Amino acid sequence: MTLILTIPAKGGIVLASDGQITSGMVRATGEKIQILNPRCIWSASGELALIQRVEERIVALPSNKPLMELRDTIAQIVKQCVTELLNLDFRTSFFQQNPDVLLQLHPGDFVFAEASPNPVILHITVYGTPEWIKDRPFASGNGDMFAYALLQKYQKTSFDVERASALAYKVLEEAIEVGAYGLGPPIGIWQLSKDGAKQLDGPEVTRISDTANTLRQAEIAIFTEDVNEKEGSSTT
Amino acid sequence: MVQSKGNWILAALRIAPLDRIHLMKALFLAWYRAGKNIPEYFEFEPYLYGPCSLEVYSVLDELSKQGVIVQPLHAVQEWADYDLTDRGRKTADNIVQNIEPDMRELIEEATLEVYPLGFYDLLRKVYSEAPEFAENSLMKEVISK
Repeated sequence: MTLILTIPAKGGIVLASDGQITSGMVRATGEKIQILNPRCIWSASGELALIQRVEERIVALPSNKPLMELRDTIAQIVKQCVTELLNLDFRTSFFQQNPDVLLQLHPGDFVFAEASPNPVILHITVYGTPEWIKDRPFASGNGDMFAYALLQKYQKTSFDVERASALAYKVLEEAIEVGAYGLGPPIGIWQLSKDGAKQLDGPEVTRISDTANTLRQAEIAIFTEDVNEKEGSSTT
Repeated sequence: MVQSKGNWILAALRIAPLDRIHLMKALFLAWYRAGKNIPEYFEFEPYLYGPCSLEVYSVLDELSKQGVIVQPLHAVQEWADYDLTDRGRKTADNIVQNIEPDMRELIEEATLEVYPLGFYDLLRKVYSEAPEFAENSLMKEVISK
């Protein structure tokens, strides 16, 4: 299970994910955000077998080409990998007449973010359909609806990269806490800018975590103070 | 006498256990009140939740690895107070003997001041005392009301 969050920002893009990898009944932690090339990073939710297969292919893509040029090639890779897995899967024969069920056998959802030459976010579905995500956050994986609900109030809001990172952390943290099944820490955050892709290190993520915590505490204090003031005024 | 950065954290935690944000603000207030001039101290910058020194996090990790500070289990582990271990307390007791009395007083006073404060009052105190370090804060508008 995975939750990936992409937030466009002034001068860059933030890509963040939870850090729990689930395989059957076993949980582990790991990196879910990968480097495609020095300007582009990607992540995926869905079946590990599909993600691994796609990863094996896309590492061979030319590193000097922008996403704009790689879009259809990556989409073809996704489609090809899904087809291969379906051909390998003995269950496929039982669902030949039901494509919706067939595609649920090997779920996958892919998101790519590139900061230069232009900041772009590319989403590729398990059907191999590519779409550009423009001027809005994007979430993928279980808990995505939860993330969208938390982000709703920030529609049309413009952030710098640091603030977008804090927001991404807060949304992921709340999604993990409130209980989308199979999500877990540690939260990984990458910042993309014209200078390239940068993964936040331990102290930098902790600093973002403290920002999210402070925001939450301030939010609680606002409501509590309000209630206290009302209670105080009603008794005097 | 020049102190290592970890010593300042131990000196603060010797007075009271603090979570990371309270500790950050206590260390900041001592530094700010000393005219932002303490040798071998943390450098603070205005960040999204007010004054912050990235190095505090690295030093906390290092002190935890050394077994001189510990965070007891907490529902949200990130928010747990840091406290001295027995070994850490002995170390801290020795360290404070070598800190200049003025500096020791600053760090101890700041710790005692922030320790009982809730987050809201903590930020209000820091932002009112050092408004230039609240300039990037996400909460500055709310806190200033």
